[in-house]
Amino acid sequence: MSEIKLLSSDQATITVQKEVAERSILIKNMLEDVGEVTEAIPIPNVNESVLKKVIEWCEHHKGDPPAQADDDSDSRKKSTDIDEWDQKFMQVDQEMLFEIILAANYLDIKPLLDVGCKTVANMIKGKSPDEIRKTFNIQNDFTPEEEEQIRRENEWAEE
Amino acid sequence: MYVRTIIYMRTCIHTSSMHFHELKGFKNPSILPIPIITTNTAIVPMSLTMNPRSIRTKNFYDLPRGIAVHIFSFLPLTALLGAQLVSKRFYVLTSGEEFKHCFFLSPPLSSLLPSTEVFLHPVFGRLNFSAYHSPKVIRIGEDLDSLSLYKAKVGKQFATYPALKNVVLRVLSGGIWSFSTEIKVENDDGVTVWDVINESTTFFKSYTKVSFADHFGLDVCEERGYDPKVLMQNYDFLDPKM
Repeated sequence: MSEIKLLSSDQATITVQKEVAERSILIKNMLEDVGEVTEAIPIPNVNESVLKKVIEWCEHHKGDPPAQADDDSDSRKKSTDIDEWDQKFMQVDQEMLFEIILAANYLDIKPLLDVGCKTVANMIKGKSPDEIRKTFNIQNDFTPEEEEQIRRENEWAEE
Repeated sequence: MYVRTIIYMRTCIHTSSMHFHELKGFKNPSILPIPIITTNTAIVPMSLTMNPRSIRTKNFYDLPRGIAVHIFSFLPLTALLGAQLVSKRFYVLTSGEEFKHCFFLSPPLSSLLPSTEVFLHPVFGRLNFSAYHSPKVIRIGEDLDSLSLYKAKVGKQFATYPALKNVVLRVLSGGIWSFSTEIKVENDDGVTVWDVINESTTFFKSYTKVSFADHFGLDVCEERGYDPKVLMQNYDFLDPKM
């Protein structure tokens, strides 16, 4: 099983199976373009701790079938269901969660990006606006009048 | 080509509410729509745009717009509406083009496949009115001070997703109505929630060709004080005594 090295933004070198690293479309395309590489591939946007976490996910999912063509157009079948392993994997602090999402986006690992985004979506679902603000440390910057107007417009959907 | 879609409807005078039923081609309104991420929001690998340094993200706001939109795309309509109240940024993010169809704001398409799933606006499950009422007094919710459909923006939203130019309502129960009684609603710009309600109430107010004498006979008319010559209105048949 061939291995490659990845160099994180904080200059840590991580050795990983090529098959695992190729869950990243960015790395896969890069390897296809340059062929065999002995030097560490720089991943300038991802630090060591995040890269290790991403690799952990890729290792667990290395046998998964390739992602289907983007089926976002079939939007109404979207779900926020996340499998048990992924749920545990995503039990990290918010900063790490966002870092994983950004890394998945940068490295072009769509299934990981989706898991991350679903995790955040689940943190929003079922919460009041105030609870969402608290969850993400967001300031309410509406004037009372603006807030009332939107509340009125959306009132029909309130339980 | 128009897609002819039938909404099955039952009007209950006792509960003063309208129920739309899931039938062929319709999803339960409680399964709320989720946005389509269109190509103009495709998530572009950030290697093309980012400064090649580690990024420290501490807040939702640090996520690029494409990712934030992708997150919101997993939310059902009720959660999206709730998220709009969080902050101006959340409001703007959830009010973009990507979510227009979520809020039943996408105009009708030029053509639809016959197999296209049609989603009914969930507000139909929240309307509170009697067929005797003018549509302008119809309220969303049961409280007396609840939102008037006539004044609410939601009334101007399309009745379905995808929006349709031609909708047929089928009345499920009632005295003289056969199972095939239909209320046709048409709007070349797309049938709105208001169009559906307006046409429905117009139907119930309209006169039938049946007089009270035809329906009840003279004896019952006399007993109940009905004018036998008067033509009955459709809503008369909602009366349980009918």
